[in-house]
Amino acid sequence: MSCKMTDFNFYPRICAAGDEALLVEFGSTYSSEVSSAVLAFDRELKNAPKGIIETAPTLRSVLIHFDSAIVDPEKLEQWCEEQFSNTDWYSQPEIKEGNYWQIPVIYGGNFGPDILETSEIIGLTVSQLIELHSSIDLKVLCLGFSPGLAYLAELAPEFAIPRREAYGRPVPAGSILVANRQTVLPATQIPTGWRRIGTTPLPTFRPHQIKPFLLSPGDRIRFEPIKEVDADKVNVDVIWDKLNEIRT
Amino acid sequence: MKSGLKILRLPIGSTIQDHGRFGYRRYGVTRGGAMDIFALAEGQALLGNSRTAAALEMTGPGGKFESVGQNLVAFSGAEMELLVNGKSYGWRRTVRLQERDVLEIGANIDGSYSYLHLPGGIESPLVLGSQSAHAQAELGWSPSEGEHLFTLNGNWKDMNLCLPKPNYFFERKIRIIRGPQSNLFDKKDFQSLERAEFQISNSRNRVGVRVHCSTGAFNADLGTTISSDAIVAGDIQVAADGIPAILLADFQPVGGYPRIATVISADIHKVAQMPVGTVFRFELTDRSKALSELAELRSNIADLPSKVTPTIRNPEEISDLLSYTLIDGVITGEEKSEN
Repeated sequence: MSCKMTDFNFYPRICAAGDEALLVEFGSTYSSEVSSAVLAFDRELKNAPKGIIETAPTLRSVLIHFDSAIVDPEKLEQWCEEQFSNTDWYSQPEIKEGNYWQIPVIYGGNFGPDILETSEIIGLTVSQLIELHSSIDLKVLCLGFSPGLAYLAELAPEFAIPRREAYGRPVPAGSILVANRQTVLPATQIPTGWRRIGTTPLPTFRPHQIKPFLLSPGDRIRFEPIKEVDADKVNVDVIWDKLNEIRT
Repeated sequence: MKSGLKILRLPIGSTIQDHGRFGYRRYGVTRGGAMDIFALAEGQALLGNSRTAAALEMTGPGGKFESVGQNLVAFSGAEMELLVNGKSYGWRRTVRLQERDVLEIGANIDGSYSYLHLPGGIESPLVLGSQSAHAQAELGWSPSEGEHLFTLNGNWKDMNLCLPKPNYFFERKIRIIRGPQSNLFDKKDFQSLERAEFQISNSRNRVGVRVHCSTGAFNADLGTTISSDAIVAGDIQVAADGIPAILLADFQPVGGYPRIATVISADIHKVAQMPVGTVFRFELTDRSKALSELAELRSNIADLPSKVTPTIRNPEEISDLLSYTLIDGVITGEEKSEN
């Protein structure tokens, strides 16, 4: 295996998660290699035996929820083991099959109250921080914690800062939060210990649409700094229409 | 005017629930749905509703409703005293209501979650393919005083039907299987899990219930040793204070606290129905046993419509006894032959 993991003898491994789910773990914690393996394997599950109800990637694993009336879990486990021996999931070429989104962000001020503190911790000016945060393509690693909340990576090494110890006041949907070289973009109001450097006026969760979530695991994103006065000019419907054009 | 019930009073935490959401887990939305799937199915069987019909899930006694138009209502789940215009009725049955009849849910007899059903299900918005309310995710509807519950099928057949009481309300043995993080716990904690008595605490809601262990708290040092991972319903999570919590319908999709074991799918509704203070034990089993129990539960649910029977008519429940035709057919007593 080409990947230099300390625990590669142990992973990937399959565990029962309750009686109607399997958890396929690719590492004990997040790394970009682990996450890439997770997304590649999650994609491959489309070819698995019938009986899977849904799959959900996390930062280090894939949850496979199956219907035990249709498929024997041992058959699914066996299929997974075959994939492990046939393929090195840690060195799969990046397949860019998801959507690419440009997400407008108002940085700083009331929209990013922690931007000054964050720039001081990193040791950059605010405008350098904005430049660094918005000049790189990020990948949607997974969604979770709350509906539509996206984990995005990987930011420049300067953003390798910890979360705050304690949760602060709840932050609104669309907050742009940073820690651990990741950005979190919640789609609903959440409590958080992550620092908020901006806000997007683009909703990423529209509960009453047929496709209610803008972002999917594997999608790529680039943030685009905008001024507060331009927030009204963001054409939300045009951006959302891209969901119907591309994803099937 | 649509028929249904006007809510005069409702216990806090009552919500509209159906079988839950499927297919949105990869977007951070877990299944949710009724805390007691068997009870939900009972109401559907009593009224001939579809498996996707939604009901009102009540968190305790105190509900009071006024009938708008004529209605047929059914009750299931935790047994409550039931009064219609002050007159007592049995539980787990259909009840016919006339315009302005007042329905009251009195004292709690057993269990924790009760369900009120209307023909065709209760009307409420469909969000992500389900009517289930999920408070933390801000999905669905949690009705309150002054609002109306409307039926989705006004053309119901007038029937007095009932179901026998299931026996799971009295079960005090909850079966568990090992999970991905079971190995992180030391032998002592696992022994406690298998041998100690546990008690349902008053810290409980649709997300989960914290349980007290008779041999004390679990090893909490593990709290920092795992990186967030996927949660499933029934997971027994050990938080930073060492108190285990059994995660139920509205659990979060991912979490960073380790899980010592998982309650089998066939027993999750039994945990949900245990009242505060209930003492119970865990019993370790394996996945194949868990799945055969689940298959049996599903087959019992599928069989519910065949278990529905007419209520035995209790004269005390018949308010207009004197107007009932008790003996049919009339003769004059003076029949004469034609010639």
